[in-house]
Amino acid sequence: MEGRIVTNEQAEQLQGVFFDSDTFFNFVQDINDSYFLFLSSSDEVDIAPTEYAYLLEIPLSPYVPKTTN
Amino acid sequence: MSYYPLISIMPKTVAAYDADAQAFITAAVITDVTQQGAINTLVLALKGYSIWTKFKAIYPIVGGTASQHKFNLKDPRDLDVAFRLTYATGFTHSATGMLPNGTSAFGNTFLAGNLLTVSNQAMSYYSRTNTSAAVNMYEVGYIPATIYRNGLGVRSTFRSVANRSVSDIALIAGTGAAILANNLDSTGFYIANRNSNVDNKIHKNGVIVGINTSSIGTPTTSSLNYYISASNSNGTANNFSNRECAFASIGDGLTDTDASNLYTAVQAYQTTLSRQV
Repeated sequence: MEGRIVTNEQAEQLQGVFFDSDTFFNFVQDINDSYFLFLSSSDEVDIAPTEYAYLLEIPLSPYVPKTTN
Repeated sequence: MSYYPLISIMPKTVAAYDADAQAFITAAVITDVTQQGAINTLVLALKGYSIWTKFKAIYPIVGGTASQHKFNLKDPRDLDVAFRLTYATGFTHSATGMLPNGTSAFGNTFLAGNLLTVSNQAMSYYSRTNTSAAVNMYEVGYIPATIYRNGLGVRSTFRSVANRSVSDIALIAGTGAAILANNLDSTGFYIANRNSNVDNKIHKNGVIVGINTSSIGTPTTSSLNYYISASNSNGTANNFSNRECAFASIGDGLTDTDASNLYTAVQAYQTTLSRQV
């Protein structure tokens, strides 16, 4: 699985922020505690016209989840 | 002789939908006639079976977009108090439902656990995806504490609950009353149901597949909201599902007959929409 790595500051600022009336950002940390943003094709379409479109320019990176159960 | 005068005075035929169905159709801007009819038939069936009033929230997940999927059929206002969904990033919305990515996506229902009685509730989820899970996955629920879980997971490990090592289990859990039923296919319509502290059942496609008569104890009610496609673990989303949701509901406990009737109504609804599994 791949996602977009954001800085800790970006994750803290945007966590829970709505980019439209229905959907909000939810960042998750990988095994190295880096914050990842996962966007579906639906999300990308909805974010494109917003002030957060810059997030779409972040390249995709491989994601390794933390081990939980 | 002209027939135009006669035609002009004939009453016009207007499709009259149930008022609750029409309110949803209007709110969700459902313009497709087949989808409108499916919603109307679903509402009439639930009312005909006398189970409509048992639900707090019904999510028909119809229309194909996030802004349409979010509405609660029981109260289709675009408000938190109406239990309409908001989404975390990671859902793909389409005509067949909403597909969570299993990593970050969940729906917040704004329906708090303490609006229902733990020993009298039912959660349902129509899964269109068959996946196994090496980790815990919840399709509906909340977890106020490790030993007290309140959720439906259609196929998962739940090692922390029951020390299981296989990944083929459906579950509703309380304090000591997990239901563990082998489940090799996570597609289908699931209902996790409680009618009392000692009446815990899992229904899959209208059939009871798990029963637990152990007491769930007397867990305190929780102010945590039910999440869809994940669990609400003390305010943090966890146990993310990757199964496409085509219907979900939360409400009071159902009798066995109620649960069977709910499956009949929901499966007919999905069939009309050509997305049944």
